[in-house]
Amino acid sequence: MSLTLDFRLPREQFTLNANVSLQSRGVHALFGRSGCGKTSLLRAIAGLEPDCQGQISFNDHHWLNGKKSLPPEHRRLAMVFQQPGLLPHLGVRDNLLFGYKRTPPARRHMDPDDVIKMLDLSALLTLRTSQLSGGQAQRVALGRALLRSPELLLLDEPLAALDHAGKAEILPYLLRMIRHSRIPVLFVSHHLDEVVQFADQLILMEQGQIVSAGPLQSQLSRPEFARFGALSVLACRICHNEGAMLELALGQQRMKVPALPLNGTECRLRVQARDVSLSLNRLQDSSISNQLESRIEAISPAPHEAEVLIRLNVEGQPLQALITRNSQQRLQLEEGMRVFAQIKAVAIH
Amino acid sequence: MSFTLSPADWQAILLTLKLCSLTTLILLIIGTPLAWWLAWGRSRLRTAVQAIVALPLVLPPTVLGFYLLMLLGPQGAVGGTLNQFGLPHLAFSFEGILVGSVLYSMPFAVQPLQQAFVTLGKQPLEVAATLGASARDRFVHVTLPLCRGGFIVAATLSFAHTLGEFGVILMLGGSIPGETRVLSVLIYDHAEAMNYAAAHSLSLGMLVAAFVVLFIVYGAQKRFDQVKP
Repeated sequence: MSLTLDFRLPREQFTLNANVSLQSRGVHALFGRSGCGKTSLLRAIAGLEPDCQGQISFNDHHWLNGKKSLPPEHRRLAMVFQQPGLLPHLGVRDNLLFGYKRTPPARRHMDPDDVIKMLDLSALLTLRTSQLSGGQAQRVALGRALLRSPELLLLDEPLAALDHAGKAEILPYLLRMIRHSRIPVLFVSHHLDEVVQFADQLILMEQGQIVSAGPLQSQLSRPEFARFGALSVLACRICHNEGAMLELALGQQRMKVPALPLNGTECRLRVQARDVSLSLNRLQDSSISNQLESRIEAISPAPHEAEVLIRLNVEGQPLQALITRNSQQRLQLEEGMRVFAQIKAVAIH
Repeated sequence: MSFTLSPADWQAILLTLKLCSLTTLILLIIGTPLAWWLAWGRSRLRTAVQAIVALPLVLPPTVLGFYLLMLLGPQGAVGGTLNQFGLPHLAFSFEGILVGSVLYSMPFAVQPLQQAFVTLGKQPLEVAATLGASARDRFVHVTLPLCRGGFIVAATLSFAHTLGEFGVILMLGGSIPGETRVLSVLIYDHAEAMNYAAAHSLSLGMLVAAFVVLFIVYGAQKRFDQVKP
């Protein structure tokens, strides 16, 4: 996919300035605080913001050229909003097929039966939209968007309106959908936790400006992210997925974490920087059994003046540790040193 | 008192129904885009237009009728122009009172529609657009079914309000049988001529008709409010 943005959109608080080119497939997460313009940016890409000016092009199609804007129905995209937005006068089945019916057969690459199976919708098909729970309604909305056979899928905080149970219910479906459909996704969120579950690429926005864009792991180690609660994501290979523990390989090193029902051979670990401690030798008598041999790449100030953020390199992947300045001085930690990182990791998928 | 209707009464009834039906039809056709623009347009003129549309609610009908007579009559800008092109002017004609009725009943079509469009909100339409529905498709398959309560109210109120029109027609159309003598005017004529029996039977008929129409309106409002998301 190739999505090039270069446009301005006047807002009440600021002018949104989008200037970025997204070239890779996979999931691009647009992250920033509430009110920074993420949703407006997504709406502009969908063609729902009449005031934007500039260029938006997607795979050689000009969606916006100066003030000339291609109407949303002619852009090959689908969008899922915060609220499911099911049409109340139609049943679940007709909602699901709304976009499918409006897509020329030659351009359809999603099949209703597959989508119904993937999102587990068959039991809902005959219901009225008012009979669905929030999570179910959002699942129908996801299916409806997929059946438009989009070449770009825009997700505007699709979990934001759901309660905890609703989120937990829909997450596995969202992951499955993103992996199986292979449609490029642009995902808006102000929860870093959500972002690290899905994103391959991470775009940071502040006050209507795009601050940085790049691959997830390297973006997370940028100093701008420290104030959102520094964390890292480790990509691991699954060695064993039986019993209560999941055995993972990171390069030559092994780890065990509580098991999750996972498919596939790879998994992501989310590690909060405050859940990482460092030692000069491998600990023999600690309750923490996951210890990764790593090298200190950089030491930088943390948001709290008593702490420092240490960037480590574990088998080529970045890992951050938040420790006190006292500990750093006591252990005489310096860039280039070899240390052992004790981590409490959570497998996320 | 007997409740028999004379041929003149029947003529007035048919003329009234014709006027009300045509007015309602025209108002739905021009009121829908106007209400849409008032609900979603971004022009600064909106407030002014909204006020103009609502004028018949507060003006005495004689004021509206008087200015329309000036405008549509042989000396007026519209009537005079029509005369220049060899066409008849519109004062004291059915076409004239039709124009008057459309303006006079406009708020009763535009306001319920505008309210329905605002209540609908933009989201269902944005959803439909991102799913590939064109503007026409969105109107037919999203706006129309979700705002049908608003359309029913707009149509019945336009019809009923035109039924009750008197002042504008008297000023602009006079009382020409088969042309401008609608029921309200005929009742006035009957009463002026001390023909109370005839006035009574027509009045009672209108009373019942007005009640039935309003009953339908409020019934529709209740029913369709429940369908709303």
